[in-house]
Amino acid sequence: MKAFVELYHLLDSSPGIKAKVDLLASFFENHSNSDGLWALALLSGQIGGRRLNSAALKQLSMREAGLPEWLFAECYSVAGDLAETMTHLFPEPGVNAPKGSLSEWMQAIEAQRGLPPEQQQAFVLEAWKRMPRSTRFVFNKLITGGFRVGVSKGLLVQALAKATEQDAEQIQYRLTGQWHPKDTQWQALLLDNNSLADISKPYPFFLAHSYNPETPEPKPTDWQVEWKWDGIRCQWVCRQGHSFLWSRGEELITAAFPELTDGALPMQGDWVLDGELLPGKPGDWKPFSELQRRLNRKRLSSAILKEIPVGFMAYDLLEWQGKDIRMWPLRDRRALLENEMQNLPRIGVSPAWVGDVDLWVKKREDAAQQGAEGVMLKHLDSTYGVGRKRGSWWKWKVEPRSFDAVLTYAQRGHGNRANLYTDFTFGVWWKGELLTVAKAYSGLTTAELTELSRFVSKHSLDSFGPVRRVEPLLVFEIGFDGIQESKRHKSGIALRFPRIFRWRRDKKPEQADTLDLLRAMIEDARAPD
Amino acid sequence: MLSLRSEGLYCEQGDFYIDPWKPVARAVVTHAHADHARRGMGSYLAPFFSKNVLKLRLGKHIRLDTLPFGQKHYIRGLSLSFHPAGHIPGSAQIRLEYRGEVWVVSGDYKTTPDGLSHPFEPLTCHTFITESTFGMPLFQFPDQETVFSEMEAWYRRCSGAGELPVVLAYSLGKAQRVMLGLHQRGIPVALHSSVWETHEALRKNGFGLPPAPKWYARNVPERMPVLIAPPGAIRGAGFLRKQPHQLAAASGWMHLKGLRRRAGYEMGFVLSDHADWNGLLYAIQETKAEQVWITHGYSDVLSRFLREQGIQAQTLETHFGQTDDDSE
Repeated sequence: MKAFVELYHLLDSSPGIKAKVDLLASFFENHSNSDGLWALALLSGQIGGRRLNSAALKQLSMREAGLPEWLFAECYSVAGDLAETMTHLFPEPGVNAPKGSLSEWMQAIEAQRGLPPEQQQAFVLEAWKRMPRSTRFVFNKLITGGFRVGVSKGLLVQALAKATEQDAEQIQYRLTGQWHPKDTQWQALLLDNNSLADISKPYPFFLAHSYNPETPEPKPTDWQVEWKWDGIRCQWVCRQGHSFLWSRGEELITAAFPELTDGALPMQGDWVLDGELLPGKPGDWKPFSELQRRLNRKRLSSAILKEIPVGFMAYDLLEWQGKDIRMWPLRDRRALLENEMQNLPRIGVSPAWVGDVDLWVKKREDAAQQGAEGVMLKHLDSTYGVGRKRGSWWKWKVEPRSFDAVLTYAQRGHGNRANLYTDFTFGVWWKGELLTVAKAYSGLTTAELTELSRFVSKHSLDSFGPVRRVEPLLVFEIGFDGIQESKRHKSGIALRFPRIFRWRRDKKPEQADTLDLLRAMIEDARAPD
Repeated sequence: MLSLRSEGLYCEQGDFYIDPWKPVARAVVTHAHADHARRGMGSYLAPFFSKNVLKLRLGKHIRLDTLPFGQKHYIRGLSLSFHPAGHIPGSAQIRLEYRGEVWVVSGDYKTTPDGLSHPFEPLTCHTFITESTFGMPLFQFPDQETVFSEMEAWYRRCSGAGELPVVLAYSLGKAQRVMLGLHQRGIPVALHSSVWETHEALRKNGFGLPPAPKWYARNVPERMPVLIAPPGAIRGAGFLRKQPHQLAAASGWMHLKGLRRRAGYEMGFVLSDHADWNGLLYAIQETKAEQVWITHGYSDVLSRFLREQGIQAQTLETHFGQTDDDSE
């Protein structure tokens, strides 16, 4: 436990990625046992959710601190974290860290689950009394769930790769799927031979730069135009009858899409596709917002799998019959893709056209109606490179659209922005009222946020927990990428990726836009070909 | 005795303002931080030990009178005196008495000694006007010794890695406290120029601070020092670009992890020049005040809590705590 507490605090105060990887790697080298597995499970979020009864914990914390409920709630809203709130509110300093390894402590905590609240409280109180603050904080994190120390899965993978002398992709594969430190061995999970780990490997993604018509860099001829789909960029690796889906962040996401994997969709051959995961199926694709509804679920029920199926829109072929063909020119890869990948279940081939700048412009104008974010321009001679290179691949997005709305509510940031208002709600006019149409929390500078937070403090009309209703005085330009009808919102409108473009200090609230304008935008997006 | 005007807290009997935020003829100031001692006042009355830093910050030619702690100054039947607030070197509470009624304006204060400032003096009064920067039970600060031990361990890690440890601390108050704490542990320090100027002004004003060298980027001493610099000086500072370093902030706000991260510091040391929750409650209790007015900070929370304890308490909307450079 002591080593894990130290690791936690050192990770928290270490500057660079390299320092963090080194800390983790040396921890794993020294704990290649069940402690290492528990640490891995906790830091990667493999084990999540509240572990002990949080109402009982809050009650205990309030009682020990002698605070009324409202004051506890205020503290929680400022700290933004239950574990930290309870750590600071416990009045006694604690003496020395209690004995026991991390796995012993985790088992002790597990054993408390399901016990009556009074018994859980007695267990926690006993621990709190003995622990110094730094240990108490980590312990509280363990009993409330949710470890976040700025350790991404990628960092853990790098550290494990270093500690066990393997490729990062092999580690990625080994960590996928369900495992629990209670019934898993370090050796079996991370070291024993695993042939599937060896065949799952994707290729580095090739990325495009943004195209700007002001700089006419692309050569005028031999360009392929495709839709730039709004989905999840993904490589589909199929080898020896097994499928693996890798996201652009080089994360293995196969488990989230059971309908595309081995059992549900047996695939032949050895190939790797580059493409986009989209909701719907070939010939009947749906907007990305549908997929988001599914991604938000913790568990995939059969009902949601049926309601929101997922398919794969392929636009490049990187490996064929076990052969790496990334160095072939696009025109040849494309020909093979069109010949071999048509008429497969759940796989569509993204349409493509060849033409000059007039075609690019025209296709880009049509993009929104296709549910696409814009167009991709790829030179027919281009190879499939590594990373983001200038010259042969370009993306050209549709201009985002925007409207002016009035700030109506503000909420304090959580955790790392607890002293500022960072989450804002905006309304547009409808029958003399401001109707909420967007929530946005990005697009302002820290200086603007500070100024805005002062405004919120001074012009607060009501408060609901951490949310303040503010006088409707300020106007902001809100940008968004997509707009559609929504039955779930009072305004009848759902925006995709709303964000703050700028603070319109030049506008008065009555000059903000109306709901009619937004409704007209939906009509525009739906206009027929 | 006191009322809130658009210029600041006004005392009618004595016709002066306490820590006004707009230019007025007569200002009485508690301490030299920018949100309490502002430019443009006709005249200033301040505690003696803040004399040099006030002149450093507001200009040599301000009309400034000072009083030693505890000495009474009479204006038309009203007596005014300064008493140590323990916030920073030279900081005071202001005690006003008129026809047997006593009011105390705390300014900023902390109740635990820092080894440098004159320690906080509890005063009895009828009405107490208190700050509430950390007026929330979340803020229960560790003692200074514990924090300096952490700082020492961090210094050893940094210097072992060949990285310059930089502690960001407000140039008046916090910087001297950090300097003294490190000095007492035998750790060398170097002062950023604005910290150095303040350091010298306080030394000339009679504070027992050891001499300390100014920081020169071109001339890093062989034994790695801790560079003490004000937060503002570091943002985008060119002089650190070529020097491997680690940044840490020394502030009460570092108590909350989220705030430290938002501010972008790798390390934070919980050193506050404001009273924590227990300090505020202690000070309020000691005054035995019937009425408590609460200024900058978590004033709504503290006043509601006090009212529930049967104390007449209300929030006072001031402009204190609203300059970014010094408040905490």
